[in-house]
Amino acid sequence: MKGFFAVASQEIIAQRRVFLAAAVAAAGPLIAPLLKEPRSNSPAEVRLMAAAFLAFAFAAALSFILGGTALGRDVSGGPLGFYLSRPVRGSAIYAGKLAGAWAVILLAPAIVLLPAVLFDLSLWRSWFGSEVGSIAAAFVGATFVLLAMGSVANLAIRSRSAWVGADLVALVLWIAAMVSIALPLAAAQATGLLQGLGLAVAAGCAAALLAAGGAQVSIGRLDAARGNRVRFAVLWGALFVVAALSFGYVRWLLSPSPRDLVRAAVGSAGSGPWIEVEGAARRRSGLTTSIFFDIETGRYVRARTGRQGAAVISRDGSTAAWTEPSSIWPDGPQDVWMCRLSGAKLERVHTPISTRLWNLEISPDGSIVAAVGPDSIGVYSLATGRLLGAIPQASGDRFFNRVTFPGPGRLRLFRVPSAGSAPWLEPFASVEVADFDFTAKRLITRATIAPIRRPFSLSFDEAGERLIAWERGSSLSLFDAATGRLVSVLANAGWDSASRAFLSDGRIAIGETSGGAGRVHLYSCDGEPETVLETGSAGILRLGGEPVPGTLAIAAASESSPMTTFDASLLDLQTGQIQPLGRHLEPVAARLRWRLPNPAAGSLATLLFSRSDGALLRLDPATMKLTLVLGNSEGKANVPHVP
Amino acid sequence: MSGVEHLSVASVERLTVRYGRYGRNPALSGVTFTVPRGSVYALLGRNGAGKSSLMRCLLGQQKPASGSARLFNEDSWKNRARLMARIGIVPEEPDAPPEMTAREVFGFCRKLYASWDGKGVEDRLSRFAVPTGVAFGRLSKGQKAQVMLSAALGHRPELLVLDDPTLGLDPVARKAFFEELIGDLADRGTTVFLATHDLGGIEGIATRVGILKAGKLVLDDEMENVKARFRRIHYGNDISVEREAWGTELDDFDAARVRARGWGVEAVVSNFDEVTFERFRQKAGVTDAEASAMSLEEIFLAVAGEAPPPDAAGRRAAVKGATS
Repeated sequence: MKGFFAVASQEIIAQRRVFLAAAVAAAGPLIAPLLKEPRSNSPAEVRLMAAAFLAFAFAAALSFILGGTALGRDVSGGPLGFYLSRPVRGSAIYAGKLAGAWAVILLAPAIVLLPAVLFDLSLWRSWFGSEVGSIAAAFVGATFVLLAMGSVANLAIRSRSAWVGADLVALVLWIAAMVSIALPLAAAQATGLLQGLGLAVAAGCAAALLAAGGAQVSIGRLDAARGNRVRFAVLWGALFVVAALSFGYVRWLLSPSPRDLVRAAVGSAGSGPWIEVEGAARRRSGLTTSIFFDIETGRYVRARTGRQGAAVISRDGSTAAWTEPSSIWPDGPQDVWMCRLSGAKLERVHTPISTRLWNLEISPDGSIVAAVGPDSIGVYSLATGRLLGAIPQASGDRFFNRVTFPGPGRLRLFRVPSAGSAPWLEPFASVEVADFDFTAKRLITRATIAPIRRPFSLSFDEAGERLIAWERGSSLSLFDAATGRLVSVLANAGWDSASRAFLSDGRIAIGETSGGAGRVHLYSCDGEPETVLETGSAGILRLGGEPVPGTLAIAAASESSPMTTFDASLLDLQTGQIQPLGRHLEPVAARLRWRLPNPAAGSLATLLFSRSDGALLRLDPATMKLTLVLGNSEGKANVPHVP
Repeated sequence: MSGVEHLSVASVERLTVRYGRYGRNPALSGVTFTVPRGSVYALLGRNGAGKSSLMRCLLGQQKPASGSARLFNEDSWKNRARLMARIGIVPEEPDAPPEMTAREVFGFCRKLYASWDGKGVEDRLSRFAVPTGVAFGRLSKGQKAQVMLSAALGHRPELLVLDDPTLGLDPVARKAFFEELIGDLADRGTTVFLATHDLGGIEGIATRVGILKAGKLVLDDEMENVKARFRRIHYGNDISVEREAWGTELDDFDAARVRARGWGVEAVVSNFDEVTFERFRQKAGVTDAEASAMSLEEIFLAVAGEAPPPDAAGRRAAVKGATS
């Protein structure tokens, strides 16, 4: 360490003129307000801005110059012999030089900045007070990387050897490798992870540059050819190790298993064992991932990563389709992928379909997908990628689009046309129902449901022939989706919350709470009130599906808040009897209805329950016992207490 | 450890250094020698003979292709930093950072050496009127050399290594440099290893001499022995048909150089002794034979200056060709 400190202090002494120059430059910002009458800035702002600019310029110029001279010239030319003739290790020579130069680079801008900061301390605090630590850390890191880069670049150029050409080739290859490694994260819009990776790579680069310079000095010493070989080997060896580690890290980030997902949302096929699990991946900064999972065998297919795009399973459970970004740009085109879930071997197939889209729907038999995008709604053959038909989208249509496949060759659209640029601010909306015959390339408008008070949501029955519209104020109305006819007003405002479900016998169930108690209202197929079943005290009540026909899964919570956990029960629709299933459980089907038709009674979607710790459980309707499908079997210990 | 190793301060063994692509150009080929403790070893050689490569290897500044270089019986490549505490070095080109003043150079050295003799260094510089507050890059060559010598001697090294330290100095500065060196050696008995072209300067100082030629050590001996066994021999030649050639009469000597002159033959031999010379004088055809002592410069020129004479078979072939 004696040698390191001697070299570092000598470097600082050698660069003492820089401090003098910084002191002279520090006077500049103080007189800056006098030079020109500021128009929109106060003198204090002008002083601080000038000082910050000068300090930045000083730091950048010094990093560049000292990297080239103190660390480039002095450790490759004659002075290196001077240091090597002393009892100082080669690594201490380089590290001492680097530390000395770095100290000069950090101190000189501080000298430039200090008078202005002291002059206008309160303004400085208001500008940077809370972020001064992170700004300083970024500044320190950036100057270090610049210095090390300047040093190694200068060493390479000074060598005037063929290794400079090899350096350039390696640089191009390395940049290409890093870009290809980072692209999937950029495409997944994983900004936080990209920033983390960028910081780690910058740190790795700095370490590699430092090691390369140190190795050139301590191993190459005065043998220039050997020094160049060593520098090249260490620098690019280390940088490609950084690239390999980044590659492995990104691969790991993008490869979570279903068990790595937390707070999973679950989608299900109408039949078969496959579900779609979506959630934030553990230890991956919450990178949203979607995975198709076979709850019988544990097999899974990883689908999209990131918040954009969609993943769907066909109603017959035979086919999964999802989207992956084909570029790094937000709202750019998405490629459609598919996987046949019924085969012995699960194979991810990249279809030729690539389009800008927000939502993807798949036909019940898994042969056709409809891509709902900002410009058009396209219907494609999933097997061939052929465009079967497309409907242009008007700009106002983009804010609400639901599509279903009511029969062969037909796509049913529920759209909310709007002429305004901010339709969500308009008090009322109308839902246009249209059938698109993509065989005949004909669009037939069937009905318009209006007016609906915003905000609203729609629930469809399994066939897509009836829908319930929920409007602000808890008004619930039943419509004939084919004609747009208002069939019945199920409830008017007055309920604290309302949840709805189409039952297997065609009836309608509405769950509501008011006065601290929960009730399930049963209606006939035409929306005529039949009976009301009390479910006990509850602040919010949600309806799931029917695990067995005539028994409805419900979830009740004491209050409505983002942290609320539910207790699940089974409600016998005939007798009103309630059988508790477990605490901190919620039927998966209670959250499905916003995107899928109502699940059929006894289908997998009606048997799944999500626990508040993210675990997924399956109900055995014969024994009424729950078994763990995904997640931590000990998870209940972590569940927060619900009074 | 052998007795010789114990007494040696520096040694190289089968040292080979190669340059160029795939190491095709050897700068040193299997060089072996030892610098005994207390000696002043002068390494001589023409430009490009490999002196600087050898110096760098010996000081741990360059790794040899094969062989080893040792200082105080330790591998100098592996233990360079530790060994430098016992060594003072004056390089061929004064290499202190140009922006440092002499005072800063010594301040830097003071931090690194426990036994730094600051007063001795200042006294030395004041004797030569070297300004200590001027940037090193602005000093004259002689002043730079004195600063480097002072920095090399300041920590009382056991071994002083000088790589052509008087290169480019005028005769006065050269004389002053060597006087300073002699004075210091007399005071301390420091071992010195120096490479130089200044043969006159070191003739009275060196106790051992080595000559490198084209990367090979062609001479390595005590100075007294070298002076004793190298002689220039002049003789008239009645043996060969052509007076410009010579025959086998020199076969008893190791001739470093032979030239046929109009008046006879001039030869430099490296194994001169009186008995052999007397026998040589008695040979038929050898007339007016005389042997004279040689200066170190003459010996160097004879050994390193020209291509070696043809071997005995070559000479016989030449004689045969001349007589037929």
